[in-house]
Amino acid sequence: MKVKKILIVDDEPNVARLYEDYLKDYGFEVKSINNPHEATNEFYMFQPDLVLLDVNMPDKDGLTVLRELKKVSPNVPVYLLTAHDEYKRNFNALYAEEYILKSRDPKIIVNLIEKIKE
Amino acid sequence: MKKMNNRSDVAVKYLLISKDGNALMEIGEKSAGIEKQIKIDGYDIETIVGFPNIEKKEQIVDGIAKIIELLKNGEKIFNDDVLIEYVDMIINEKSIDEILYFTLKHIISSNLAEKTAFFILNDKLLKLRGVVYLKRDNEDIIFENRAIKSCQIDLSNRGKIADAMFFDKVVTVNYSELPGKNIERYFDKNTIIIPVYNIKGVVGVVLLEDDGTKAKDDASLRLVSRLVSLGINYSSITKQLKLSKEDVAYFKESIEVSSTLTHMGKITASVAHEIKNPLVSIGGFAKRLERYVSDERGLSYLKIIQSETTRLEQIVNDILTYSKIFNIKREKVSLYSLLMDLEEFFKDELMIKRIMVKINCPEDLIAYIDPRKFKQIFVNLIKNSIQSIENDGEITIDVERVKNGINIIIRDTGDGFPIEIIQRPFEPFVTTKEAGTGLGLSICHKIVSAHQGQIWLDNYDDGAMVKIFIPSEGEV
Repeated sequence: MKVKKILIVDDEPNVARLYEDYLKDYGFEVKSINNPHEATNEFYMFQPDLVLLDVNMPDKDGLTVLRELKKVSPNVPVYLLTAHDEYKRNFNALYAEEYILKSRDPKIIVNLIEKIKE
Repeated sequence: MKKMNNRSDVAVKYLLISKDGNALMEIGEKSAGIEKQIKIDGYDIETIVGFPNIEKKEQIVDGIAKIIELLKNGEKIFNDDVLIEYVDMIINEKSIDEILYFTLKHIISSNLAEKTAFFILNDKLLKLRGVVYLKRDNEDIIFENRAIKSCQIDLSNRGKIADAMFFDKVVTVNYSELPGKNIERYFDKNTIIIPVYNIKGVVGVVLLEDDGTKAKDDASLRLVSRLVSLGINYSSITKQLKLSKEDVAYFKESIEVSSTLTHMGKITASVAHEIKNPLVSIGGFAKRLERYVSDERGLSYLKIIQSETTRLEQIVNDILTYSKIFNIKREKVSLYSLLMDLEEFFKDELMIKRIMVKINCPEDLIAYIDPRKFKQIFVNLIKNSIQSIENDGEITIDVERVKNGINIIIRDTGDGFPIEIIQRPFEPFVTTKEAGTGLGLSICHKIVSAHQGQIWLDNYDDGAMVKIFIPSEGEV
């Protein structure tokens, strides 16, 4: 499967924008939203090939969003984004394809996407 | 209509569920204030008052509503009396064990299965652990809640069971497909897995043996899951309520007692958490900006922003490490090889500053300590020493076994500890370094204390000296 469209869900607008701009430079079509309640709806509308999902959102937990997305579309990969590594071993996190620390170079996301293409 | 006595006066003051005017169950007094009325499918749920937290109150109302729904649509496996007794139990704050026993017992007595169990999810270890197990033995129902605890189902890989839990499905698997320990002692046929949820997600599973002789419809199985879930939810809420009541009493008593420091630590930790995200975007955008800036001075400013962000990130990490209440994991460690690794770790810095490291440690000395935490101590202390030595110096580490423990002495030929540190050793946030957090020594102190050991620091003729004593009491 070739990844073209990426949906970013992060309640921090600046962090979302950072990833959005970064991935756009690599030629991806990117959409970012800051309200996790809109995630499922946006997922339907935008039909992404990949979702970058923040875990720590005060309004709605990223792991809850993950459950909702995976229930409707288990095959679209979801990468969890987090500032801390405490969720790494967690039952719901098991259903995300990757787990990315925000402090790491965003290049890692592009590298991971490359791997999907193979 | 059935009246229930002995209601919990804090958690639930008044609860009434009725269908078309015929009360299914009624608890409490009419005089209690009615907060709100909810109507679900012809059933009236008249309020639950007295919950400290609206969200949780709705959780319970929601749970009851779902049970009603299942009663209406599903096979009636439990009669009203059983359900009333059930609600009576949760309202009266019966322990979760009793509630589980009650629910599972009715699975067997209503002929849904011959064997059944509840397993709870350990979210971090990715395991399901047995809590209770019941089986029919002739006329009796045998109950077991001790040995079943050693029975575990492994979830570290996605599989049929994990899928059932994640996607909220009821599945049937053969007992041999259950990955884990000791399962075959309890289930030796096909097994139905029913996930149990609360508002945060999956909390466990109910297992039912399926010997193929009993008809089971989905709604009945769901009802079981809802009952267990409601029981767990309710007992955790009442437990919280009890704890917060105790907390209030405690704080009233010791309102001035020095919880300030712990409190400060908590606040600091949550502030540190909040700072992390902005740091990611500041550092990230500064890095991106490099590509749009060609001016050399501009580029050097961006480098400063980036290096300062990295420094802030380090500070935040230190604070988080310090404020974490950590558990130490002791193992038998060769201090000699641990120190050798560290010398390797600092190789470059030591070379640049032409610093010699002398390690005097018996190669066969084994300490019973947490190696990762001790590595952190040595890293912090050696870093301090390297920073305090201008150029050309020496760091000496002496390790010896004494009568009731191990002594470690670290000396350097640097500038020695500043007076502020000697006066207030190990106090967090005391620092004289421009880039320091003042947490390095505090972290060392915390780790040594967690090993029941002691740490001292002082200056001697040539520089700084730190002495650590680890008692051998913890050794096995």
